[in-house]
Amino acid sequence: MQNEHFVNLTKLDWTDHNLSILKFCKEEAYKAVLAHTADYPPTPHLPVVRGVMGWDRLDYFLDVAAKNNLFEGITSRWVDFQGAPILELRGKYTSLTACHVLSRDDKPRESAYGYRKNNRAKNEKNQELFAEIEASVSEDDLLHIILLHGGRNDNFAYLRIYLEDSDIPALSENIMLMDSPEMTPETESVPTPMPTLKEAIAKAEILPELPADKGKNVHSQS
Amino acid sequence: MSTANPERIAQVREFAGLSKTDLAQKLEVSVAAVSQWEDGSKNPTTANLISIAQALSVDVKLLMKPVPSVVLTRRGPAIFRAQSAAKTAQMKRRANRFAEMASELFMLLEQWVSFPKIELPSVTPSNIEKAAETCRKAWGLGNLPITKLGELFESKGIRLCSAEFGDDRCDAYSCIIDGRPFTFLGTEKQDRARARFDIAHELGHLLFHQHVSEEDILNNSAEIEKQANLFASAFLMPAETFSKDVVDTSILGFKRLKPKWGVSIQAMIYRAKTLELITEETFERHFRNMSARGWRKAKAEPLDETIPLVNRSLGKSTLELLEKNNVINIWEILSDLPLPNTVFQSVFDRDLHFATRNQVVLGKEFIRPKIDPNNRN
Repeated sequence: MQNEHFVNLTKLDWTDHNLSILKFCKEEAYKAVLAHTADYPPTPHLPVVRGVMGWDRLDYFLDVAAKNNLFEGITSRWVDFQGAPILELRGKYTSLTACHVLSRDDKPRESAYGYRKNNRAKNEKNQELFAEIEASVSEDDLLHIILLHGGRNDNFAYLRIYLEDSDIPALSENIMLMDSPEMTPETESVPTPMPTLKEAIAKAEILPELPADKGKNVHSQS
Repeated sequence: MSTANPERIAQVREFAGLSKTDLAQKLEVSVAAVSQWEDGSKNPTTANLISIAQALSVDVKLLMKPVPSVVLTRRGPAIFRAQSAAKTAQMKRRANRFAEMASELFMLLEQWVSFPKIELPSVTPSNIEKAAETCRKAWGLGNLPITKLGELFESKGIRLCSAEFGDDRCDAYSCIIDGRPFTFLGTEKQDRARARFDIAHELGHLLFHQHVSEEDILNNSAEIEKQANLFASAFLMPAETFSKDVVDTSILGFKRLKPKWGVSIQAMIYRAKTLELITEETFERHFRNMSARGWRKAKAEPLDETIPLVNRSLGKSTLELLEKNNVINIWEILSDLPLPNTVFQSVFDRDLHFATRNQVVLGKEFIRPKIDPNNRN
């Protein structure tokens, strides 16, 4: 029951369209990291380097996507949490942050200054506030959800919510299995330029006089 | 006694890239004699006329053919892409003469066929973004990438021709002759992204600068070029849709967008700066980065092969239409209006020498050959 409530609430902000934009951002971020690190020496650190870069690049893309209005009803802002910048995507009911993990069963790591712990506590506290969806929600009372993503040997991204003690299942299916958004893939339709035979010519048996023959000399000849 | 056409002699000489002195030296006559032939005060002898034709590599018959007056009197100034690179007056004269001849050929074809209606919307460079938007709208386009750019231009009445400038710093030029817009695209550069940007740039000139005098073009060339560049950029990459695609503002992000938008990475970075999708600092960093990768040199940017070619099909399909309906074939056209082979190739996109071989092999592609094309160039 509790889970259904969270799922319904999350769906209000994270529509299929918005989820497809999340998918697009993750794909682009991971592609960018792979391209950027293509020439890196293949040391055992490389996956870690890519993971860190993916975390950074995804936040960047999410921010750009929000600022370019790719999402519907979602804004972005960088929260300075005790000196640690965190990107939040805010809808009407939820606030989303991204977290990179190695496996889809991993839980988000604790953040250094307790950001995630605080949010879990807030989620716990705010549960009752969301009993009625229509209730007005203040900016500080948003449900804190996490875009849990990874892809070293797997390609996944789920929306999750964490409470202090409860184990809540994922709020979404694997986003990476959704259809991709249409990013203006089409091109303009252009007609083939076609000359048409003049009607009189099509019927005429005698060719018309050539224009150069009719042309008048600009300079008269002596 | 030959009856040479004075203006035609001047036209063909300038088309050949020769000065009066050059021609006089070739013919071993005085410069004054050439001047007299060209101002009509004296007619060349038959022997002289043959020598002129040989020196200029044209059919004698062409030198006797009057130049239609509208081609000369109703020709706007040729506006060059990279005006400063069109370094010599000689090159400009040659380009103008090339345009005159191509125009004459189109005039001839218009006796038999109707070309797509000319649709150049009335816009000004005071608001270039708006002008590009208006043009797209007038042409029935939305804000999506345009793949078939050459076909689009031709379907809106712009005569698209190839041209050899003999200088790879000169990419393209355009002019309006007797109300018909022409764009000539250089064949020296094979860079597809550049070619696409060039003709969009020329569209900017055709829309904004057709009434500007030759003198004003020269005096304000930097501003005029800038306006045409901004127009090309806005026309090819509409703000609304392009901005949404620029999620990754790294160089690699722009590289990924290149096949889709059909423009160079460099052009996209400029556009992103204009639309304030990237900062001045990022812009400069990207350009340093591109220089370091060697991408700013001609034909050096990656993924050019993924970009569609600028196709010209109007001249070719016109010829096919005329030949298919047995109205006239290329040899008859050439016989009646024996312009240099390069002009025919520029308009019809057909290699006459190759056609000759085909004719021999197939024996039916050209029904009524009248002349020996090997004697013409």
